Amino acid sequence: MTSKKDIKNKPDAIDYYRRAFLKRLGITAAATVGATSAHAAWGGKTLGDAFADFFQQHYQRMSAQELQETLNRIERKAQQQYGVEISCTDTPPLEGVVFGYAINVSKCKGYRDCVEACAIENNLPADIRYIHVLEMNEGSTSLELADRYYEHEMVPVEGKYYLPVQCMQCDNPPCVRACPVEATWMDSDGIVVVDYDWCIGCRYCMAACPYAARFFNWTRPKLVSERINKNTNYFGNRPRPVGVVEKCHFCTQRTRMGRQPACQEACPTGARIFGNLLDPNSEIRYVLENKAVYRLKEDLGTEPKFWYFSDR
Amino acid sequence: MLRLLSVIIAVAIPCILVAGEADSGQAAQRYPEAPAFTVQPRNEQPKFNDCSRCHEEGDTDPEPRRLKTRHVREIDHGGNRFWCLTCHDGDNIDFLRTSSNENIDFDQSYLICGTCHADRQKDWYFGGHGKRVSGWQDERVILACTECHDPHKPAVEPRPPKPHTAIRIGLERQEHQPPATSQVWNR
Repeated sequence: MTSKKDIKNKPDAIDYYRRAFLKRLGITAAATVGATSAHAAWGGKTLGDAFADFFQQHYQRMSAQELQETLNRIERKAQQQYGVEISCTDTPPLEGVVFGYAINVSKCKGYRDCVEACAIENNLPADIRYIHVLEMNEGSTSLELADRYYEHEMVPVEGKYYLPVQCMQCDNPPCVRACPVEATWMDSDGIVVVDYDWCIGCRYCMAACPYAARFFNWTRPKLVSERINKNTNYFGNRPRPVGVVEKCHFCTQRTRMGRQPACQEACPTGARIFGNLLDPNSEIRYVLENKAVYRLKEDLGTEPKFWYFSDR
Repeated sequence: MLRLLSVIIAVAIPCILVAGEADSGQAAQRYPEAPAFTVQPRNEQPKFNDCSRCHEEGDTDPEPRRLKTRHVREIDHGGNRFWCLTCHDGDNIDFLRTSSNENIDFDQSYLICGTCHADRQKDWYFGGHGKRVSGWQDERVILACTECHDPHKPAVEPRPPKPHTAIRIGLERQEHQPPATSQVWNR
């Protein structure tokens, strides 16, 4: 990862001239086609933006200036597609932080408040939810018998318990190894992020993920303009393009600024515990050291940073 | 041996008296080594400071009985072994009183809960129970026990769930068919 960052800072004459040429080409083309044809011809974008989108680099190879231009372009795109003025930032991972999550299974009552809060926070279309609350049979850990579409008047139901699953932010993520174009990787704070603009939509990562935590945008996300969360992040909740894979990112737009993820904030029972695994005084460390914690499908060796425990 | 015991008592009694007389509404923390925290304040809510509007100092009848006026009628907690003054301070009705005779305010109600629920209380101090309302990096602000559990009826009530995930357009939900085997891994 460091080697790629070094490349970013090296002046590369050929690359520079190629870029300058393409830029000029874009400007001349835009000038010849004329600003009036901006509406439909390039997907609602100006020709310059369409060009820049096409030639956008991998996140880790972008210079600071290129990244800033990209963020501005993302904001312009949201304005064109949804008519909202979002602010898109890039928040790098914090030093000395590795995020971890723990869920108290005996406190989760299956209300699905986290699911809803997550959808609102992360600008999710109706057919994608990062969190699924599984209704499990008491005394069983069988995921095959779990029901994620339960409908009841009241929860919790007798004889059932509830197991929320989402991206486990594995420390040995199989999805990352499956990606043929390195559009997804684990950042230094342990969050597995997706560069939506570099993703080619092959969905290998979805097949590789044993937790079914990755989701595909079959269409351009159908978002309600009034309900779009305007505080967005490059790896987080910015409106996604069509044909890319997305997943839970521990709310990078919040957690990298010191806030709690939306699901933790929404949980009415306090079953969700989020924190820094490297801080010995953190709540998550207390849970890991004092509770009988377990992880899902541990035998696969994916090393999830997502634990479950119960009070009993 | 007897002398040692009397020394202990002689030391202990003034401690208890000091604690009882303090009337500051604050008492010592049970786990000073726990990460620093503040409880989201509940004192300011008028609902918890209203008792003295009717009760003057010292006019509380300590006799357990069924109350007729604006009180909690049923105490569905601890199998009917509690009476108001188990937790509330009869002499100073806007405060609570622990079993070790400490006078505390409603923000420190967790000290009373821990008298019986000691394991939970320890978890709560260290972050294994309860809810943190501040950011993971900020100063630790947590909810008091009574924020979620009504002390007069502590069980959390069932509630309707939020809608489930939409099924992808064009697909239908498949009825769940549990396998007919009784293998250990299928239970």
